[in-house]
Amino acid sequence: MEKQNRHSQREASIDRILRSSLRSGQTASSACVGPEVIAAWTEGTLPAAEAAAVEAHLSSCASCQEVLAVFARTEPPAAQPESLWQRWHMRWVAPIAVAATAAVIWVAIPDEGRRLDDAFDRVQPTAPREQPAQPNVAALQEKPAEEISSAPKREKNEAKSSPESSRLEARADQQSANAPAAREREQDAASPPVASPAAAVPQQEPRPLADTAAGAVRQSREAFAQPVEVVSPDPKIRWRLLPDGRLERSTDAGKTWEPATLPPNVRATAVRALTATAVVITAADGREFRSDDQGKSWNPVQP
Amino acid sequence: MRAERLDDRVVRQLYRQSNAERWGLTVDRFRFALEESVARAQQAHGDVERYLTALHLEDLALAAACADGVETAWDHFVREHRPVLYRAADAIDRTGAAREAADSLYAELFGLTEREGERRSLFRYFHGRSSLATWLRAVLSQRYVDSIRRTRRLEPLPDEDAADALPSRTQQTPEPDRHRFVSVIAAAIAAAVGRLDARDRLRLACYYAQDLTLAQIGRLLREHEATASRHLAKSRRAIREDVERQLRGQGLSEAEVEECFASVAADPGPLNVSNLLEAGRKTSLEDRST
Repeated sequence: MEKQNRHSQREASIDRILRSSLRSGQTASSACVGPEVIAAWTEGTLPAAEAAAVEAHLSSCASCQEVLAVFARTEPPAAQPESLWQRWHMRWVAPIAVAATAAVIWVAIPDEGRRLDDAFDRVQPTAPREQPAQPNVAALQEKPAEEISSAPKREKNEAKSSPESSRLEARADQQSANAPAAREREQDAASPPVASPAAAVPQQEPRPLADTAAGAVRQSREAFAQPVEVVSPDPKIRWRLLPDGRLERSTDAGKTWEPATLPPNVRATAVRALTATAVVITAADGREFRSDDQGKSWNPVQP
Repeated sequence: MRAERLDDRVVRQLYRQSNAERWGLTVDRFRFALEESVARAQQAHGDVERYLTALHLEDLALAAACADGVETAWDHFVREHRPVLYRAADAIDRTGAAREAADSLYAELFGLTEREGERRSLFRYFHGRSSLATWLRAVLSQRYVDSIRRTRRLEPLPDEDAADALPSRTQQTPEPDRHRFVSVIAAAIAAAVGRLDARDRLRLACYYAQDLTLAQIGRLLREHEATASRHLAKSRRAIREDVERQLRGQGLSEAEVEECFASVAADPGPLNVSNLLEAGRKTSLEDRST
């Protein structure tokens, strides 16, 4: 240890001597290398013999060292060698891991997305919701108030155990909705039907559906997953929106379907049957088109 | 000195590679540039064809076109290379002093100077041995150093009464032993440094004399800065061992060796190892030859 200390002290002395003396004035030798050779030497393009001769000169010529030092300061910092983590194939590890985790969660807990939709609906107090089937409404009305209010807390367990749970929860929200919302729902009940996953099931009676922002988000998102069927006020006239944006029409209560024409370059994302002959579609870019002749001709709806 | 006429086949092949027709250069004009380059480096290269294929041909063609005043070539140079020049100038001196050198260099490249009525561009000194960007930086560095040296020459000598002109502490308090020890160790260090490889000496000079950072040294010597650091430590260790050996060889006891190192630890005094380096290098070469 003592020997090591002595060595490092002596090397520190050498360090001081070199620092104080090497920088004092030196003279240039007669055969200084020019800028072209310095440039080629720094790029490593000189032949080995010439490079060695240049290096020998540079090591003993203060004048050239001075130029070399200024040259070194003009050089932008070089890119450091990439660490293992920075290599291109490793850069994808984190995003892939996140995506894989998200996919696993999505597959393992499929109801999670629906609960998010319901949660989104809950923050919209005026958002009218889909009318549940009558038996469920009756059953819900029989439930004590505290059980209704505790429904969201049990959401996770029930979501997995029963597909009805989210609908029950939605119903509970409806119970707690304020009076204007209830009035709005009554108005909605008289409004024409709008495409919705729930409407995909053929129904005997036209079902009033939500036409609010929250509902539209859910409808447009899910409209891409499966064909959406919309029943007009005349139960025999129905419209079906396909996942690829095409529209079909049935005049025999959904037994047979015929393709309907759409406005040029329009991909439908939602459809509303206003009457037996009048229908409104919403395009992917948000524009709306109305047809009053069962889809034979379309006119843009002015906002 | 002009090189021998180059083979037509080789010239045409290099002409195609250089993309010289982009600037409207003729094959003969490009041949002239190639032959100038070969003549310039003839002493260092035996294999002409190998030398030619190692050239930065596109830059050589661009420089030749700029020297001839081809407008499209100048537009390209201004767009691609002038920013390099000014960035380098700003990196050298942020106060703008190097900008003057860059502007002056740019004017010379454009060929504002005339000789016998003929426009003479600095581009005639570019022979494609490095990239044009690196050459520009090297020329700018040379010009900047020259301007600094001119300034130094114009500066007045220090006042005799100035503090800097006072004799050093070593001279003020003469200590015969210390003076002897300093002289002995300075000579030993110079000899030890002289025995190092050229690359090691250059690394020491860059670090101690030119105050370059390890990263800058690494870029100059095309090695990683950690490698540069290791080599510097290794050189210091080699110098220390060499100096110890020399001092012992002169009959100094271990205590005296220690005293030698201690004498320069606090104040190395007015040593000028660099002046001794050349002598040390010559001694080293003689040692190796015998």
